[in-house]
Amino acid sequence: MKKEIPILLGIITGILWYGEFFIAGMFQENQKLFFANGLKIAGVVGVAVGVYSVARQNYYKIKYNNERYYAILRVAMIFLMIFLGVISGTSSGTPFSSMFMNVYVPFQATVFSLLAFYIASAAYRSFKAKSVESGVLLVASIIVMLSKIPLGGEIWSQIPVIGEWIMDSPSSAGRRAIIFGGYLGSITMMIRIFFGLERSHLSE
Amino acid sequence: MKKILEKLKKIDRRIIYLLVFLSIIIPLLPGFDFLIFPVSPTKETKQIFDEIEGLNEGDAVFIDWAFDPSSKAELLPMFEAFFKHCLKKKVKVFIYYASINGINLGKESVKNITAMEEFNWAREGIHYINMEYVPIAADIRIFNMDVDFKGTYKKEGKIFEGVETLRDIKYMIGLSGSAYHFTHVDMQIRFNYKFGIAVTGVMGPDFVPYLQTGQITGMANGLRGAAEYERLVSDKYERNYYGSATKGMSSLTFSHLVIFGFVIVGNIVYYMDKRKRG
Amino acid sequence: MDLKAVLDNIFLNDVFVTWVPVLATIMIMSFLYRDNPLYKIGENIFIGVSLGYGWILSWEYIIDPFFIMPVNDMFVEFHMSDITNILWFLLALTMFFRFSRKKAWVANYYFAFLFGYMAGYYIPIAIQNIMLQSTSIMTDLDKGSFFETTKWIVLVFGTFAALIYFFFSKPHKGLLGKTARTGIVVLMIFFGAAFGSTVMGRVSLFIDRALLLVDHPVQSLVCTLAVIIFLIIYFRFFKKDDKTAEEDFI
Repeated sequence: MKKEIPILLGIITGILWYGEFFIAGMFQENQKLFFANGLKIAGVVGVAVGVYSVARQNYYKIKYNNERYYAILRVAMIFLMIFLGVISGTSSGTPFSSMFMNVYVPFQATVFSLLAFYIASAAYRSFKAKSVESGVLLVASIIVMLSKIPLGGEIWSQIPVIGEWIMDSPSSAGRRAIIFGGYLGSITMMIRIFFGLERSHLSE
Repeated sequence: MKKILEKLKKIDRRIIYLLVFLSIIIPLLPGFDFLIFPVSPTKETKQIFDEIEGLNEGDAVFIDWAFDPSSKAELLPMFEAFFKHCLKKKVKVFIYYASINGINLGKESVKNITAMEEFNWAREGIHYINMEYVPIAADIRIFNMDVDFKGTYKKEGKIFEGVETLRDIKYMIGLSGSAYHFTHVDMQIRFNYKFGIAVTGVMGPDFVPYLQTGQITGMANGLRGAAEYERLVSDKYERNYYGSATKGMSSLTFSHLVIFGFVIVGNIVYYMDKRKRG
Repeated sequence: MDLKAVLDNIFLNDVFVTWVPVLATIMIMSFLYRDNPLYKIGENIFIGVSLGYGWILSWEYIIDPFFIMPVNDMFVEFHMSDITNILWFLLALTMFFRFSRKKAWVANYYFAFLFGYMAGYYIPIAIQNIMLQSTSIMTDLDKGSFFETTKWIVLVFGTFAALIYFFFSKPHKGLLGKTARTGIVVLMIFFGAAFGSTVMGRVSLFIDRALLLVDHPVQSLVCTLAVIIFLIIYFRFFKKDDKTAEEDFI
């Protein structure tokens, strides 16, 4: 009951969808929509789960944590957004959309833009030719960087061509090997799920 | 000498940050326009452009918007250039938001573009449509290729005339900064749709093998790809469609030069330090 | 004046639209100097706004069209097909059991179903992709120019060498070892190319912010000055004790 029936359910679903690949018209059109509807409804519950876990976390933060003022600010912002959304709707040109464009967007974009500084710092501190392999890495990345900036082609017209050669052959070869590994690994994993050997997604 | 080496080894990170900051912001200040070099389009970006150029009036294009403001810097300029190109060609544009955090960003930029004098003839529901968000995974959406297109997205409009299923879409483009579009790429062999991508710089090299197998038709890589696209559209229609991507190219150049400087100085310091220790 | 007009006045006027994005940008950038309360305030405002935004949109695009409306329709007129929706809903509801420790197994039904579906559809597609990736390099050797032909040769042998590197069933000695070493070089070139593109990507993220700052020069200068003054006061008078040398050299 706890594991056997779910595994059986998984195997049956797996076989059905495996068959779908080989047998044309195995699912009627509306049967395909059956799965889509299922996922849509699951999305509803997913939102509820998210709301519940956020509420639980913030409740404990406000109650016990010494950084409670930040948690209060966070919750106040949640309520402000909900208030604006309920009062004025979400289409563009409303206060809700203005909050999104002028508060959410700059904050998120700036948080991620800090990475520009960190990567420069990383380039200075750890990007060193310590061995042959890391030397190759360094040279390849410098050529690719040069081919990406417009100045590269101005310095020497062949730099973009060499950059393209690197991207198209050795780099693509390395990526292909990783792709093969990825597909083979996921096939093994999927076959284990398919036969009910893999149980890590099920809890006791 | 020893002192300088010691200082360089323990340089304050904030000096590095400041140099990067200046190298990005100075080329953007007024009066530094002479630093803008023209970008030459690569074959991947040109592929997307040629696909759209090859369409007829009234053909359907599907934009799969799967990014949120965190990668807006690289993908929004590409979206703007691409959308303008589509409107220029008078193809129907379906914009679907696979990321719920991108919806308002997308609607605002669509609104800004259609408010321009040149494109103010475009009407939502006739020439383009915002299909908003539907909570189904990409794989399910593709498996539903042969079912009612309107019904899947619960939308109505004149734009759906002649577009019964996903198969009637002539070209699909995915904009994303994550691994989201690998599903589309994997399933391309089975369903044979034409699929192009615009990805962030980080993801670019990951998609190259798929370009070679033909699973992807065209790729615009990061800000550089967007600048190339802006140039392609501007050259073709002989008007100024240059946007923020082209503006940013000078900063891109100079910040890269500064980063080269860091790499070189870092290596010199490393070797001198190594020789000193023996 | 009604509430709507007041809100429009607050959130749509020029001061809000031009000052707030600049202030937000500089608040977050102050983190580059050091972790400080301004950054933390900004971070928490961002989290709050993003959650509120996400919930409102989830209501509009998920809960309302796919739950409220169907349930409404169900009360008006009941169809047999609605039973499947109810079953789906019950199945999805079992996700809540993941929060409980003793009854977590109830959620197994849903996850088993989802993973079974994934396994079923993914196996043939993965095999198809492996086939395509390997057959696409089996092409004519003559590519027109020497340059294009070298691309092909490096691609074929590079892929092979890199795959040998991942082959651990035999010790990497002799020819196998040499091939594996070539494989490492190929992989390193890939990582190098990836790093090169990553630098471009990361830098462009800040270029976007820089464009905003340049577009609003007055706001940027005023906000920067204000933030700098705040940082000086804060670190001089309120938090002068725990300045560690280590932190400045990360």
